[in-house]
Amino acid sequence: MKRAGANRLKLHDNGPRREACAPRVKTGRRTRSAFRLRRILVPVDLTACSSAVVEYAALLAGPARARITLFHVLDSGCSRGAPKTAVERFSEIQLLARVQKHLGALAERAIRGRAGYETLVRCGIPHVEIDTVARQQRVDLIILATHGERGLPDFCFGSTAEDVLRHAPCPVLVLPRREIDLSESKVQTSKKKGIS
Amino acid sequence: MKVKPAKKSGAVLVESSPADDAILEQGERFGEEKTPFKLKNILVPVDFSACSRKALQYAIPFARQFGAALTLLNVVQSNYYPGGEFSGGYDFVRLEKELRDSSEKQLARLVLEEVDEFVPVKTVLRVGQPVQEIVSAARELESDLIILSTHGRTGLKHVFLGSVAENVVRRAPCPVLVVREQEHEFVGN
Repeated sequence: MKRAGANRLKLHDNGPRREACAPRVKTGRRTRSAFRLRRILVPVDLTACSSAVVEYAALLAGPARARITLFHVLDSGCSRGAPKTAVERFSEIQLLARVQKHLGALAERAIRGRAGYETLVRCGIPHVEIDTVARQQRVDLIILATHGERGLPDFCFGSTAEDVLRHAPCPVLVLPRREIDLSESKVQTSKKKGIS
Repeated sequence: MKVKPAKKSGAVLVESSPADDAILEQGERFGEEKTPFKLKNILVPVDFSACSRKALQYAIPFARQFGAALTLLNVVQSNYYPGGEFSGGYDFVRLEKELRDSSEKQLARLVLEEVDEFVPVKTVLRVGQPVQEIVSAARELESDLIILSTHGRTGLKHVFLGSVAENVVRRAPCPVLVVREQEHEFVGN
């Protein structure tokens, strides 16, 4: 690993440490706080509440002129790590394309030009992939919603939001269930309108 | 839409109902009503640790960016026994008063040290259990966002020590922004 800055002067450096995966790059003026809002990661599960989350993110990103990465993880579930046949791989690719399309539609109607965005789909374990992407893209903030499961189901299965909260390399903004309920009721009414 | 693992290993099964497509098609209707997005009151619970100072340092530029006002909240934890003869000789009323006084002083000092004049700030002091008080304060003050930091404990430490941040996230009436104690400065820039 090439050493730069003050690291070059260090003689006893015991190899790359944990933070070595994202080297510290010094820029001219260093602000005192870690606050920056240039890239926001919005992991969505494409359920009814996703729209509200994306809209919240867009409204937050707008004034700060941040860029949104809309992200969905195809949960590989129990088949995690199993070798794939060509047919399975093909269906996965098809699926990815389909989800990409859904994400695009979601972004279009929820962001509506309020902020720049891109969409991203990956396969894997949700909180691991979210963590990886957050590090790779040097995300400044993760915005997600929690389903607000409480009691036993939460204790047994945990929630993606909680895992993200524990492992994320950056600040995490968690939207509560109440906001989701709002959006769900909106979905209900729009469905009814569609039928009548 | 549901994505499930299929019986065959490695494969996935996608279920998409007509309702999903209907939602997608009617997407335009979502945005018609204006979402009540508001970012005017930010609640920052502090316990005067380095960790909570970090949350405050994050909250100040955040508030400036969105033109919001900050409310610093300190919770004096009250775990005393009100009964006379079980009090073990401690004068809990006096103890609590002293704790309150010291907290008030520390809050004032924190404001002086950390907050600049461009951000409106007020301080609130409450007595009780931290999580409950933070959540009820957020409700009473109609906060739009809570910014707090977490020590980020994992494993056994997490199980036994618990996390105020996590419990606030679960019960809060408004969005919660969680800042980690060590992070970010080495991630980006």
